[in-house]
Amino acid sequence: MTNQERLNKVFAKVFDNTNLTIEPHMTANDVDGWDSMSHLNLIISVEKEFSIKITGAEVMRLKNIGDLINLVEMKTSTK
Amino acid sequence: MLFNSFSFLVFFSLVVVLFFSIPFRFRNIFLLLASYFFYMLWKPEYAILLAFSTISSYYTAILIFRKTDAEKRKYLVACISLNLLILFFFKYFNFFNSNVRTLFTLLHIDYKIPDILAVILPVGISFYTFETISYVLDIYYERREPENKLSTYALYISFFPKLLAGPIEKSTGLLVQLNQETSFKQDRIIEGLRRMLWGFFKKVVIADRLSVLIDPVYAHPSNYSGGYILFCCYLFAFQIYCDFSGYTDIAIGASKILGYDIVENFNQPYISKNVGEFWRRWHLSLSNWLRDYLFTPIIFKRKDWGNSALVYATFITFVLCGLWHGARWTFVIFGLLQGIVISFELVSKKWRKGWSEKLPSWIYDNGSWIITFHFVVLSFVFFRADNTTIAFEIINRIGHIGFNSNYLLEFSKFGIFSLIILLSSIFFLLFVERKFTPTLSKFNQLIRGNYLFSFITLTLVIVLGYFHPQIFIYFNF
Repeated sequence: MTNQERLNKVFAKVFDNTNLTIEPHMTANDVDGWDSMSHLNLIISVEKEFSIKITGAEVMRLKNIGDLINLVEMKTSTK
Repeated sequence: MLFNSFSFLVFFSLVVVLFFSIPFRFRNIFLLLASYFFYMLWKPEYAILLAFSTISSYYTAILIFRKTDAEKRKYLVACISLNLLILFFFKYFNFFNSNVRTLFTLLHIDYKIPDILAVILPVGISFYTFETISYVLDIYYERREPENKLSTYALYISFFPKLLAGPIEKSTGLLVQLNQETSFKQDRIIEGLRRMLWGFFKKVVIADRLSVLIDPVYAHPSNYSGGYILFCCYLFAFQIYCDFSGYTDIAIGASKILGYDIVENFNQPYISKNVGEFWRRWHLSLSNWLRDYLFTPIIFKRKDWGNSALVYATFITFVLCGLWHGARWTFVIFGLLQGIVISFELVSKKWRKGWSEKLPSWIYDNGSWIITFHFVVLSFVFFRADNTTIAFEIINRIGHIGFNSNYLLEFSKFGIFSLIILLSSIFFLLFVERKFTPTLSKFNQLIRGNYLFSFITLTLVIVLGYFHPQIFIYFNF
């Protein structure tokens, strides 16, 4: 399973939507229910899924899902 | 120079004529000079603060962009601290100092630091400081590259329609537009003029007339009965909305005439069904700023706390949101009240969802709306009162409402004719904004296309306007 597929599973669980398919260009505006609370749950779930740590500044630099995929790729490859 | 003054109409007309008469390459410089002129008419020396905040953030952003990650942070912290320090000095020093003095006196410790004598708050400082901070943070978070021209950046910060009371513009909005050529378009001029007219209606027909009724109550609440005070508390919700959103309409309309779209600040706040929603509809540019540059960084700094981080961030954000409005305990209480209720809304999300499924939707929706509106009206008592003694006296008197024959006498003091004008104007406002602004585009269509609407509004402004120029409430922040 690729990182994007694993990430998709995390999104589906956090947003309680099994039909959700993530794309790199998507932002919070494209996903129903993506508010501050779910954003926090998402980042915590991503950290658990990939056993990585994401800093506050890194979260603030994310502009879309593509940035999150790249960040996960970078963190998992340097582990 | 107040928007609701004859001198502004002359100034603005001259600016528009000259702006479209000169070549594009000189327009930004011209608008920059016009904006500084506009600001300096009030207190010329405070333009130095505006220029300092602009220049310091402009060059810090360039340094942050060029430096390594470790160095970026130092420049960021230095720039934000310096700008906040200036804001603190002018806005909060006396408040902080007097509270520390009170504390030391209670502890019987000698305290000799005096207050700064008669420091006048530089108008607009809270608004432009937040803009310069967000620009530097946008560069730090790699959301944009630094602006090439200092003059364009300086215009983004000082752009006169939004300089004194916002909306707080993001660098990814107006700054981008300032680099694009605008041309004279009749449609935009008409749309802008009508939007300004609607703002004048809200300000001079409703807000300023309401202030005549409400100001004496907040000055001496002991002279009024609970029922009358309660009536004024409801009316204050309309005064503050019409004052601030009226100002914003004028700012948006004036920008539109010059060819720029600045952000909307309101979206029917009083239809909100919870307080979180209210803040997504009220003073949007401030709420969005606080969410993006304060609330979100705090929750991710404390993300190991889980949902407690949300409650913690909510409290900090709303206490600071309260204090942003001014250096008074009433504003701290105003912010705390918002923080308590929104925290409750965050932790009770599932519980409330359960109730919304159990109850008929009209009961749940209308009940939520009534509770939210009344909470907002209550919290506005602290927003409006000059001190906590007055705020608590007002609440105390409302709590002891009784029925007596003096009510009619009290209301008659205000004048039945004025009351009818006011209440019908408020109904007209609600009718227009409720019917036409479920989406703002519908409202803009109405503003663009309906001559009868503009004629009615203009007539109301001329016939019913209260023309004793009153300062916009948000100029005090």
